[in-house]
Amino acid sequence: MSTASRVQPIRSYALRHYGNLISVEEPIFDGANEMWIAELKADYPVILHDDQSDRRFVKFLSMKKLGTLALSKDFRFLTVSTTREKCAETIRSFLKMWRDRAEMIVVRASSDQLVRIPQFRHFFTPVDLITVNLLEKDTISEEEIKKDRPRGRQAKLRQYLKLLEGLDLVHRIEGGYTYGNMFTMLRKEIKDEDKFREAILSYVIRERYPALREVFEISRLEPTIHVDSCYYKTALEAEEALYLTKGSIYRHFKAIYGRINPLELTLILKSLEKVDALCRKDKYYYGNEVLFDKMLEIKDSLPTLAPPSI
Amino acid sequence: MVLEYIKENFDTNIPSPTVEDIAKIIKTDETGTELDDVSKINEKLLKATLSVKFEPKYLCALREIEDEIGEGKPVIVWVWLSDDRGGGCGHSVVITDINRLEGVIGYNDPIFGEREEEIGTFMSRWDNININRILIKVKIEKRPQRLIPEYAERKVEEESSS
Repeated sequence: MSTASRVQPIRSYALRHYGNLISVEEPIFDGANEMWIAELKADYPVILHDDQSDRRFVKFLSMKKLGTLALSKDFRFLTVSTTREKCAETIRSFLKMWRDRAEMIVVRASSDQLVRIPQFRHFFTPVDLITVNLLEKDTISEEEIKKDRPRGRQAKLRQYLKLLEGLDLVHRIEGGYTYGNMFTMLRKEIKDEDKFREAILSYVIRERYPALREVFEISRLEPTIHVDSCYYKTALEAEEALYLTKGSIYRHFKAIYGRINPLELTLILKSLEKVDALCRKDKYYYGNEVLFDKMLEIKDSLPTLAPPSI
Repeated sequence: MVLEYIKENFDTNIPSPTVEDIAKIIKTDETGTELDDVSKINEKLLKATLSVKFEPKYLCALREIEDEIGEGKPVIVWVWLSDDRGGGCGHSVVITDINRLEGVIGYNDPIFGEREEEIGTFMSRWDNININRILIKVKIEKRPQRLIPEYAERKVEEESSS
């Protein structure tokens, strides 16, 4: 039997059982169980809109390994196939995976810009405190950590010291801490002290965003990253720097993350614009070209959306 | 490792399949294992006096690991193991303890033994793009009824009492 003739009945079954959004890979015959197995996949359509040109178009998100379709030797549908419900559940997981990926791409590409936002700086005061002290006098002693500091703040500082230790920015020594290899390396590259402090924060956010979000629970940073991600996720899907109004960004935010106060959204967009994380022309927001190119590069290096193989 | 832990800590006659048996059941080959196939091991455990089920999930939160540990259950996660050439592979460990305040996470590693790691480093290895925060929950519950004679006995008791 030719490839085309064995694919056709399987495609027909896929269409009938899963609808026209799901397609099948080339089927493989499982000799041991005497059945045809074909992996299910999808090119999930995303409708996009550029507000300036009023252009509407469709792009697709590739999804693999949504499940398997099993047919008997004589092409009868077998119940060991993945159910429609399971397929829909997997697609929902992949959309969440894509949302998380977009966020990670945005953080990786624009951490240098994000740390220039005052609210960000405020949350990383402990990191800045450690950096400034190590720049001043090479070490931070246990006594200094304890002196005139409530226990809660001592614990917080130790948490950050541990985090920086994991990044090789600080190094534990007897009776305290000193700078680590990464600290020295960055210092060699960046002579200006203010820029160096920014570079340390940027490095911490870029490399440890999952921990900052879940362990340090810096939830107040999230709206800024989410708003930025709302623009760039859409642009990454379009693979071009779209022009979006505040209203569109608001709608994207609501669809992806839920509610946001419009006054807060205006403030966040202003902050992002101020540090060049986003650009603005009249009422339209568009991506920073350099950052967006970097994001596209990261996106292209990532594997297709699929369940992890272990 | 997890089955041994359940056997030692819970009153159950759970079977002890060999590593080769497990690999065969969950269809592990040179390319690895499909996450969905992990739960195929559950069929092998049906005869245990306790109901033991492995539930693979991905895109999980740290809080979910903490909840499982809080209930005294073993938690299997996958982390990225980098090599010197910029590549790497997924590697499973069994989490034993999380201490947010001290910023450390403890686990049993089948290669390196008992370990403690800075939590930020662990999170980045768990959140790796190839791993996607995989977590395998082990559901250990009392089985309401298991054998036909038991079922029949209970039914007779119910009927005689009514």
